Amino acid sequence: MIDITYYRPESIFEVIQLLQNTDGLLLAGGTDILPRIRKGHYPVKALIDLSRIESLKFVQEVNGWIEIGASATHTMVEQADILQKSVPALVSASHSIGCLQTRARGTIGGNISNASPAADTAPPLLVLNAEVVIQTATGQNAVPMTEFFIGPGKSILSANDILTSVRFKHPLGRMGSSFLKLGKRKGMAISVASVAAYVHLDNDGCLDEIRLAYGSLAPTPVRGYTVEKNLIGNHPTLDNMQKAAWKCEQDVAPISDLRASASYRLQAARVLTIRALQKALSQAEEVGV
Amino acid sequence: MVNNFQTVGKRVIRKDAMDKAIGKALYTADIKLENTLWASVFRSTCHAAEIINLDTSEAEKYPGVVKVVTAKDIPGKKSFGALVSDQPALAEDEVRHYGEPMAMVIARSQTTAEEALRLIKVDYLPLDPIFTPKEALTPDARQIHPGGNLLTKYDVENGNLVEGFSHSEIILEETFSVQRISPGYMEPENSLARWNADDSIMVWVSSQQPFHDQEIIASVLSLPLDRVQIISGVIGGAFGGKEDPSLCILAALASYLVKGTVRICNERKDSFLAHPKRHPAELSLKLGANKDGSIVALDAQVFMDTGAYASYGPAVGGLLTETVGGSYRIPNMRVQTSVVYTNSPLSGAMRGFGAPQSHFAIECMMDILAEKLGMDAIVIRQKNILHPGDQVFTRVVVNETANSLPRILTKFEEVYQRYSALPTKPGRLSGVGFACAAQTMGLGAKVPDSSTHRLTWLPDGTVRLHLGAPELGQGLATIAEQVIAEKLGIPYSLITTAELDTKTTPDGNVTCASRMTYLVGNAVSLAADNLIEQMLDHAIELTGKSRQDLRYESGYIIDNHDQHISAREVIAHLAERDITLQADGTASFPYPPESTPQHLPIGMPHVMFVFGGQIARVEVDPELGTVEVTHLTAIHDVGQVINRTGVEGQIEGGVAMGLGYALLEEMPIKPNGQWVNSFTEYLLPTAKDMPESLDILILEVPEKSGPFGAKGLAEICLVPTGPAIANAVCNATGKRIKHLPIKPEDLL
Amino acid sequence: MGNIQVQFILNNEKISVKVSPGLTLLEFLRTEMGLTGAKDSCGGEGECGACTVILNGEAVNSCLVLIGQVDGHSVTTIEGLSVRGELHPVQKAFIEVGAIQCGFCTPGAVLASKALLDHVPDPDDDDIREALSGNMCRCTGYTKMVEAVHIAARELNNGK
Ligand SMILES: Cc1cc2nc3c(=O)[nH]c(=O)nc-3n(C[C@H](O)[C@H](O)[C@H](O)COP(=O)(O)OP(=O)(O)OC[C@H]3O[C@@H](n4cnc5c(N)ncnc54)[C@H](O)[C@@H]3O)c2cc1C
Repeated sequence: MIDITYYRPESIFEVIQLLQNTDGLLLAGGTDILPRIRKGHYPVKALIDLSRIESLKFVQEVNGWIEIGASATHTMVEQADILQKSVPALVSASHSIGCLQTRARGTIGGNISNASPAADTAPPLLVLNAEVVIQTATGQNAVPMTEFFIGPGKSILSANDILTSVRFKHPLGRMGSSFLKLGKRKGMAISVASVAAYVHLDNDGCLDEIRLAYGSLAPTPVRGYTVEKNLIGNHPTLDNMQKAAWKCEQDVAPISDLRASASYRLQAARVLTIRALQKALSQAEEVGV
Repeated sequence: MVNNFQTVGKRVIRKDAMDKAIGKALYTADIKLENTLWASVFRSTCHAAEIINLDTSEAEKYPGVVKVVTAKDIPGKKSFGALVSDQPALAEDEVRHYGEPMAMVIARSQTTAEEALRLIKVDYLPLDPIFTPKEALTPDARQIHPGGNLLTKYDVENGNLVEGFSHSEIILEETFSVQRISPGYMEPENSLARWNADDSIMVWVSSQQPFHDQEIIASVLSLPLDRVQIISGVIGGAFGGKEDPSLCILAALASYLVKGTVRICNERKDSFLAHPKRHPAELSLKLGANKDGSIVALDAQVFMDTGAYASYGPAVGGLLTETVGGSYRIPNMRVQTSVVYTNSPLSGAMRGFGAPQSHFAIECMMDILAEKLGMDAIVIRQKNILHPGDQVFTRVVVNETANSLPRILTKFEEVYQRYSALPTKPGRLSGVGFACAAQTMGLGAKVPDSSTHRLTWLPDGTVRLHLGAPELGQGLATIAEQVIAEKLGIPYSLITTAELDTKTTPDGNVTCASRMTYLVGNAVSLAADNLIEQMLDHAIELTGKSRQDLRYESGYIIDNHDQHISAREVIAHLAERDITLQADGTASFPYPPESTPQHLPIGMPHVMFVFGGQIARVEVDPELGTVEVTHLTAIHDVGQVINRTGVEGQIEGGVAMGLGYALLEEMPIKPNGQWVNSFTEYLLPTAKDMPESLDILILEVPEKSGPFGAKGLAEICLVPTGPAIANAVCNATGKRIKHLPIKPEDLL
Repeated sequence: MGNIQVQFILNNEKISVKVSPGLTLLEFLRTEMGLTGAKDSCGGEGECGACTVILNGEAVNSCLVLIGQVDGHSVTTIEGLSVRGELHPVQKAFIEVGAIQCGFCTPGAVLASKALLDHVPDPDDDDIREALSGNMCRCTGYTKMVEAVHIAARELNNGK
């Protein structure tokens, strides 16, 4: 049993009030925060349970944007038809999280808010150019994902904010996306390194859009700008991709920890970059001109 | 082999499966008693320190706290240990490992107890911790125990080493190391104790040896043995780790001190820190051979990290020493094993008991030798395997059980062909590797090992087994019931097993050492024979016939005119006269003096062997270094199969454990100075990590002295897995990894 | 803080309780309801699956659900899986093929398998392994569990 004060607000308005007037922390799926509280990692006095707020549980497409409510579980994300069709990167990232039990409870909002460098939904959202929608006491802001993370466990969310959704433009045309994750075992693994790729091909088969992002390879999930720069406008030949992937060391800053050494992570980043690109390309190529 | 067994050798459904499947099986933590208090343990946060002052006064005052217990409160013996009494129930002057218990808060609820723990203050004088045997053995190393850091040293030699090496045409020297492994049973240690109005105590345990727990608790509480009653709850796995009694001592102490009912449960992190592990070890092998591949000499230096307290370290060291030569005939051989104290978590008994360590070394060494000589790794094994009549280096002569070895190697050849022909996924490297294994049964010479079990033929026609040693989950009760059913010629469904209670159950000694099928099987066979004899004696009276005109067959007494009376009728008849048919059976391992070498220390030698082998196919991603075990065939000789389903279950579980040993599991110190202590960091294999194909081949080379020809199996199932995978990885990549676990980084 | 009112369906029965909000569903089941089929093995980290229950049709770790979070929902534990004494086909298959050894992980593994079959009536080996990958077992090597789920799937499909 944990010693907490517990609130069950019915609306986002109530949540905002509670955030302002109590020292409560938001509780979504609880898969991250409950183990931490038990371990005494943070002294949480109160929890504000989001489970009654149905309006945060959705996956929808409106006006060419795909929007996912903060309380959408990983299971919801991996099963959503529209995501399966259009953004396999996000679907496979969600599918790679923990096990069935974790995914049934864990939410995309919790995953992002955590700001863990290993948060698996972050790299795909980064390459989708997603925005995070944040509700504050004074209004709503949409912040690009690229500005959201500021350090391990740190984001721009302030204690009084709630993340309500993430959204991105529905990718169309000759595009493809992918997510590859390397764990220490095949089942239930936290990533040692992960890479998401998004590509779009022009009529000549050149990359007119390319974005890469890395997980567990820097203090926060990061974009692979250097690699992108080296590939944009080019044909995605293996040679080009290999040369570019080699440069990912300028984008990442891996550490050594229990799971792997920094040098291994760097090697993994290079290998996964190429493979993620190949996978995304194969999706793009299926679309035809 | 043709036999007409009714129950033995068949697939039977274990009787506890139903309760387990519906959630009704009561593990100790599930047993609910009135007014149960909760005890939480205050543990050391230093790896090594003198305790200057332990202040529990604030905790005592905390509302809801009933008592805070320290070593001073212990009425009897303050330390325990199966082989060396070096482990304090609660540390008083010094802590020797992180997580060592120092005090215990007894409170009305778990929450209160845990909150009060935070109020205990301790002043430490930190000491420099020692984490490796080599460090511990340097001349100026701090002495962790008064007797020094070397707990036990074995030096066993046979033949003439110097001559052996001088005649060797090739000499190889390699050093191997293996890591610390958690038994990782799903049920963490826990215990429940109740003080009775008549000043006796009942203790529920999750333990491999309740009768040993009883003795220890009696000595710690300074109570006569008959005032301590131990009851075994359903046990959620043990794998050797539940030979040590630590938690039930504390539960009993708490209950005794407050004269009430107290529950104590280790959380997973406590289990990691404070319960025995499989020994990490470093093994340096020098192997001499001839160019034809025959081994001439082997010299091994072994260092084992036994952690802060002895636990079963000396015994594990002994068995490791005995198994260094694996399944091979080595005429000149010496093994020097040092079992060394450190400030690591304690190491003790765990499935394999030294054999997983020794086999990683010798089985990799065999492949290295084959490679050096340009020989086939199967052929080189064929040249050197033990045959019946051969002597191992403890001078024990191996019996017909060794007939399994050539058959295992033949299977390797077949499977090797098949595995090598499989297509490899694009971009991957594939390889096949194998390893043989030798495991012993029993506790070793000079260790009292007898095991007693009781049968009662009840008036309703069923036979009740009082199994004197706990069922750990492996299916011990089931095979005992099958042997009884077979012996009595009655259906398996008529045999039931009672809960183990030291008041009503005879002493079956410890469940361990791949010895239970053999021992329990033999003991209940004797008891069943005895029941039949008793029944025949009573039948004389009942039928008026003479003894030689009566015989017992399949639940009936039959006379010389073929008249049948059912056993059930006889029993019912006797019940009317208040007579119950009951018999105890006791069995031990045979150590005939004429064939048991006497020159070795206690616990040595073991005289009965079982052999097995496993062959694995792996695929390695050469760019990422990841290893996937795609196929594995496990070939094990079990003598006569008793429960086919159970045999497969043991092997499948053993392979999983061996795979974890090979590729995943380890318990190092983290950058923050603490040990890995959770399943987040200590990675057990999941369902997805198992090979896509796992085949089991069971050999049945009978052990004449075993029940219906059966022998032990539990430990050997994981022994060849590690080296087989390492050999397969080498076959795939050309990289010889000499440590476990093999990590992706090792292969880049 | 004070207790909270929680109403939910537990094993097909409506219950309404006043409890401390700091309780996890696992603690509530074990200590308040005496339903001890769900186990604590990893210490509340969601790493072992021994505490698995079915919440609104999905397998979840009850150690990572606060009691207030089940308000208005439906929970099935191992004790509620058999209907009128009739074992669920998954339970039957686990027993029959020998997928149960020490049994500590069994309730969780059975429920995870049941939840899988509710969503994927005809799973292949990969589906089953995926569904069981959050349920640690140290005894069986999972082989017989996978076999049991196949058998249960066949039985459930034949019944249709
Ligand atoms: C066994 C296990 C395995 C796991 N494996 C993975 C894995 O492979 N990959 C991975 O990425 N993660 C993994 N996780 C971590 C975790 O499950 C995920 O990060 C999950 O998405 C967290 O979501 P949640 O809803 O459970 O968050 P919670 O635990 O409820 O919350 C997490 C944090 O986010 C805050 N928060 C939640 N919602 C909001 C919101 N709407 N606005 C602002 N702040 C909010 C909370 O206050 C808290 O600080 C694993 C966890 C477990 C227990």
